[in-house]
Formats: sequence, structure tokens, C-alpha cells
Amino acid sequence: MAKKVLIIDDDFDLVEAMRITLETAGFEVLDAQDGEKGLEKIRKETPDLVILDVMMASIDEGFHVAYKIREDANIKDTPIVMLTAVGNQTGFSFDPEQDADFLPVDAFLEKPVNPKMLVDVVRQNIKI
Amino acid sequence: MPIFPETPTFSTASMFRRNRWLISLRWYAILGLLLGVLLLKIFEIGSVPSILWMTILAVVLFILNLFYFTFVSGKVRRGKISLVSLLNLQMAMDLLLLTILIYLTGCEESPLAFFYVFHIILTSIIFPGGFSYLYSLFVVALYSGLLVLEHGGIVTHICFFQDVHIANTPGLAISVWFIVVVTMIATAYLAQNVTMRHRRVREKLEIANQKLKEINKTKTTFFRYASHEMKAPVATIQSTLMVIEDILGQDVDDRVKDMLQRAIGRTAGMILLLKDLADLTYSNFQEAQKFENLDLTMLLQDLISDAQPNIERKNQKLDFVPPAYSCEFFADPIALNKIFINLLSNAIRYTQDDGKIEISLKQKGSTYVVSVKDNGPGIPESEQANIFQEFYRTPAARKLISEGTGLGLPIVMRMIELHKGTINVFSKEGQGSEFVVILPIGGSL
Repeated sequence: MAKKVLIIDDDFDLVEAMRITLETAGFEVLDAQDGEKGLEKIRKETPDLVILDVMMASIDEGFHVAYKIREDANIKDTPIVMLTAVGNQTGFSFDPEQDADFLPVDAFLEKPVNPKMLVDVVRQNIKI
Repeated sequence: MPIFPETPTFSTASMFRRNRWLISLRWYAILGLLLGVLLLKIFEIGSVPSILWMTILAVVLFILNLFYFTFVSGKVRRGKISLVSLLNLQMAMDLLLLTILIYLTGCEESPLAFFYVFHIILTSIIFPGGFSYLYSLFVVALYSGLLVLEHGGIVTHICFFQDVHIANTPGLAISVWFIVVVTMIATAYLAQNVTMRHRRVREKLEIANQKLKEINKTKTTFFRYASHEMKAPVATIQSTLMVIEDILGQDVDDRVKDMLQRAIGRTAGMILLLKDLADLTYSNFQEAQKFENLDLTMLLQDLISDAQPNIERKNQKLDFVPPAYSCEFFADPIALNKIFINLLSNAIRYTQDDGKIEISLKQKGSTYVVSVKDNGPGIPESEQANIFQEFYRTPAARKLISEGTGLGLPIVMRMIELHKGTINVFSKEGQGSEFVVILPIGGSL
């Protein structure tokens, strides 16, 4: 059975681009447009990996979602790949690369998303 | 409200204000003169013809002031006389009439010569620059002229106090006392006026400066957020194009692949440009900066090892002998990385294959000196001043490498300024380039 990947991102076009890439690589792709719907889907569908955008409605919504995943006993082991914006030194209150040590995510992927790297990162982090 | 406060130049509005102020002061002077005449009458001192002339002088001054007033109020056609000339006319006439008054009250015997003093203070308030020196020369000329005329026998001396004995005439004492009082009050008023103007201008400047800072901050914030907002859609376009190229476009025509690659190349360039634009504002955006103690040697070593694949690809040789002593530096690591990433990647990009790059770090006195030197094509002397300008790329650089934002060195410059340092370039065409960065230790504290 194909592994399930959930993409939580409000950029619909980027979701479609990633969907085509991952489906071609043999994954089943689900998506959610915001953190709340994303959490709902994780609990219902138990995906094998989550791709999470840092910046959605709020500047750090992705982090809050990541923490909530780790706090929920049923889904806390789901691997998380965090999508970060281009050039992180925009003066916002956090720096994902620097703060990675205490962030509960497994990998970072910078936008623009290179299809080969996306597939590689998903394969490396998904539990077989 | 204008951002810049009134500056001490001849703006029309300020000329009107100065003229009106002088006219209003003159009303008081006329009143004072008439009061003086009245005092002399009451105490029955002073020569009678002189007192009559003094009254006539007051009337003349009144008529003149009425003329000035209607002129400034625009009730008289102004013709060619400018407001500056009117100011000069007023001041010169006042000094002339004062000299006549001094003559009428006994020339060198007259205590009215005191009044020259506050007229000179007045000129320093209403005229710019060295005008008050010119007017003091004018006063000296008037007073000396008067003395010469009198002692040369051309005009007869008026013995104003005649046979009055100073000691036993209270009226005379009161008159002189009156003049001293008027001089003191007028001088205090004028001096206070100067200080207050000065203070007001300084306050306005401070407010304007604060406003400019706020405006600059708003601009910088807008700039950073705008470039960030633009990056998101461009990144998505880039991601979409890469999906077409890598996954959907396997079986397409070579021309389609070529077009796709061009589009991907241009969006990549656009993303670089937006990143650089954001970096350009970094030094103005304090919220983003984080100063900490770091090791310069380690920072350079990390950068060099990151750049190693590019150096190897061009078969270049890079030398860096780290100093034996530790180079601790209190700085913003992001900014410092930008400085040396840009200098190093320029050296790699513009130096030919098999070229040589040397990096050195030394402590000299209270500074760290970092040099990035290559044996590449060099920068013509005529271009060296331009390379730190935003979006400027030398024709040679454009020819060598078509991609480039033209923002690399301007970013370097600003990041160095953030650390109160300087950068110098030493280069000759065909003989390589050396960029020397001097960073004062503790300069950022």
C-alpha cells in the first residue's frame, strides 16, 4: 500500500506542484489548507509523514501545529518536514535553521521546492 | 506640517515676519521717545530747540513706520523694492535718526549712544551671517562722522544740559536713569529673543530628526516585507516550473526544455535579487540583528569549507593560514557572514579556472584586518569607485558572468558600516584584486 503524505500549506499552487511530484514517486498525497484542518486530518487519516509550511495565516502557525502533533500521544511519532520561506533572515522573530535544535521537526526544506530534493527528503524521513 | 523647520535663510514668509517685527518694535521706540520728551518737559531740563526737534523726529519716525507698515501689508505697490531691501532701509534709517538724536542731545555728552548696542543685537537677529559686523562698521562711521563734523566746526555743538549742575538736578538723574533702564530692558529682551529662537529651531530639528528616523524605519520595514511577500509567489512559480522540467516534461521537445530552463534561470535570478534587496535593508533593521561574541577565524574557516566544492569545480587554489592567536569579535554573525560570503564568492566567480585566492586575518592594534585577494582579471581604477553603488556592475563583470544582482558589494559595504568598519579595494587591470576589510574591535559596542 502506498505511503500517505499530508501537505499542510495554504499555497494551493505549491501543494499541487508537490502533489504531482510525490504521486509520481508513488506516494498517496493528502492536503490541508491550514493548521487546524491539518491536525484534524492527521488524527483521522494518520499519514506516514507531514509536510508543514511554517508561515500560513500567522507567521509561525507551522510551529504551533508541530508542537500540537508532538503533544498528542496518538500521532506524536509522525515525521514532520518543515517548509521554510526563501532566505530566512527576514527579521522575523525566529530563524528555523538556527532554532532547529529545539524545534520538534525532522527535516527542513527550503522554498522553492526542488522536486528531487522533496522526494529524497520524504524517502529519508518516512518510516518503513 | 513641514518636516524641516525654518532655516536661517531668506524665505519670503520669514522676511515678512522680520519686517513686521521690526515695525512693531519701532512703535514702542516712538512711544519711548515721546515719553522721554515729556520727562524733559516736566523736569524742565535740556535745550528747548532740541526738545522741539526731538518731537519732530518722533513724528518723522511715526510717518516712516506708517509707510513701512503699509508697504509690508501690501497696501502700497511694492514695485522693485524687495523685502530684504526694506529691512536694510529700516535699519539704516533707524541708525541715522538715532545719530541725529544723539547730536540733538549733546553728541559725546549724550547717554543715548547706549542705544547703538541693542540695534547691533537686532541686526544679528534679523540678518544672516556677517551683516551685524557691517552694521557695527556703519555705526562707527556715523558716530565718528558726527564727532568729526562737530569738532571740525562744521556743525555747532549743542550744549544739551547747558548750565545744569548734574549733582543737584534730580530730573537729569531720572532722565539718564530712564535711558539706562531702557537700554537694559531692550538688551535683555533681544538677547532672550535670540536664545529662544535658537532653542525653538533646535527643538524643531530634533522633532524633524525623530520623524525622519520613523519614516526611514517605516520604509525599511515596508521594503523588507514587500520583498518577502514577492518571494513567496516567485518561489512557487519556480517550484512549479521544476516539476514540469523534472517530472512532466520527460518526453517533450528540446525547445520546450530549453524554454523551461530559461524560465527557471530567470526566476532563480529574481529570487536572488529579492533576497539581496532584503539584505540591503538589514543594517537599518535593528529587530533582525543579533550581536554576540564570535570567533572570526572559525567563521572564515566555515565559509571556506562551504565554498570548497565551487573552488574545486574551477580547479582554483585557496590559501588561508589562520592566525595563531584567537580572534574573538562582538558582531552580528548574519551580517559578518554576508560580508565574507560575498567577497569570497566574487573572488571565486570572477577569477579564472586554476586561479589563486588568498584570505588572511590579522589583528592590527585595535582592529581586525581581513583581506580577500585573487589573481583574477582585476578592476580598472576608473571603475573602483562605482562598484559599491547599488545595481552597478562593471562592463567587464557583465561580460564575464551575465547573472548578478549588482547588490553584492553594496550589501558588503552596509554590513561593514553596521560594525563601524571600512573596506578598501586595491586592484589593477589584469593584476588581480584585493579587498581589505577593517573591523574595529569593540566598534559595535
